Amino acid sequence: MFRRVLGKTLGFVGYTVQYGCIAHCAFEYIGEFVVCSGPSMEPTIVNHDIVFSERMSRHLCKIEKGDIVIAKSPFDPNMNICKRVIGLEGDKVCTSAPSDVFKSHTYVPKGHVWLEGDNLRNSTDSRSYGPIPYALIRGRVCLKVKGGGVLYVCC
Amino acid sequence: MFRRVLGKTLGFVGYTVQYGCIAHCAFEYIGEFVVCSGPSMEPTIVNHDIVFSERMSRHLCKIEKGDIVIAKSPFDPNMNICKRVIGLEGDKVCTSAPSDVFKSHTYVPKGHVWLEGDNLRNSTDSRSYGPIPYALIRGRVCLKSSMAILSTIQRCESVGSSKQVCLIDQSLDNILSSSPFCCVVMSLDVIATTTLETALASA
Repeated sequence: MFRRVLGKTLGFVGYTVQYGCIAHCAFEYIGEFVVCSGPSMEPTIVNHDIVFSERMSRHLCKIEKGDIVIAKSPFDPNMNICKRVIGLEGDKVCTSAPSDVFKSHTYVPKGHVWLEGDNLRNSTDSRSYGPIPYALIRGRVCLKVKGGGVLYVCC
Repeated sequence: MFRRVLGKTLGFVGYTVQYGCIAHCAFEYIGEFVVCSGPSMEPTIVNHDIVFSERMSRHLCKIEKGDIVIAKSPFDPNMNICKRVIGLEGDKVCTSAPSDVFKSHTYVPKGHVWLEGDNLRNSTDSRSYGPIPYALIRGRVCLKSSMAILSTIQRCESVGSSKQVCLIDQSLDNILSSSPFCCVVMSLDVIATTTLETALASA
């Protein structure tokens, strides 16, 4: 009796581990749904929007200028940030505010990207903390779920 | 006939995907074997040493000062680096060379760590590229294997001006009786057939 219960429990645990691993690998290599919060990407992505971020571009190093990416926050390893890629390694980016008289530029170092939110007035991004290493990028946002399940493609 | 072959092929592919995913999750959450190359961590870790880096510390945020960590290189997302953690966020680290007259210090920003190689003369580390984000750390090195002698990597308590060699060489029997990783130690002889995930870059 006890053996049967133990056997069934172990079998159940085995199946859970198996399918948990497969699900984890699917999220890791295919894509995942992400709930965005905050105003830094308005009007493209607003608070509580659900987006789908695909992982293949990141693994194949096919992230390009203008993509919206999900990345790990450089200041908190447990938080993620959602910004747009403004410059790749070697690009020249403008670091001064639009209201400044003298424009200042900087070059993005090797292996780094320059991120900025679409809502420039209300976004903490590379303009404050500098370029972030490419390895922190998790995935590229390609779809947004809005309202009754209608999907929009973000350019 | 064709159906049978197709069915068997699909079954084989299914099993491969299944066990591939389980193996990937084991490497991701438990640990992985890594081949180190380069002189930046001598004498603790020399060229072609095989080390075991465990992932639990990184996920539970238990990396401490003095640990040797494997991290993604900030300059090349496909390369990894192996350095020692000298300072955590908020710590004050010395950025000047020992030969400088005037010492300069800096504070490690929030969410970052300061890494330095043990071989200070031949190591490109945070002294040249600054602190790196904690999220780049992949795992903590806890075991080293060189020529079938297993050694435990101990945390270096004094990480000040003089780097101590914190490697304790133990015979296999001692390791098996005292180390919590004895089940992993037993399988070191299959290194040749196990997938070695990444090679490390140095300097």
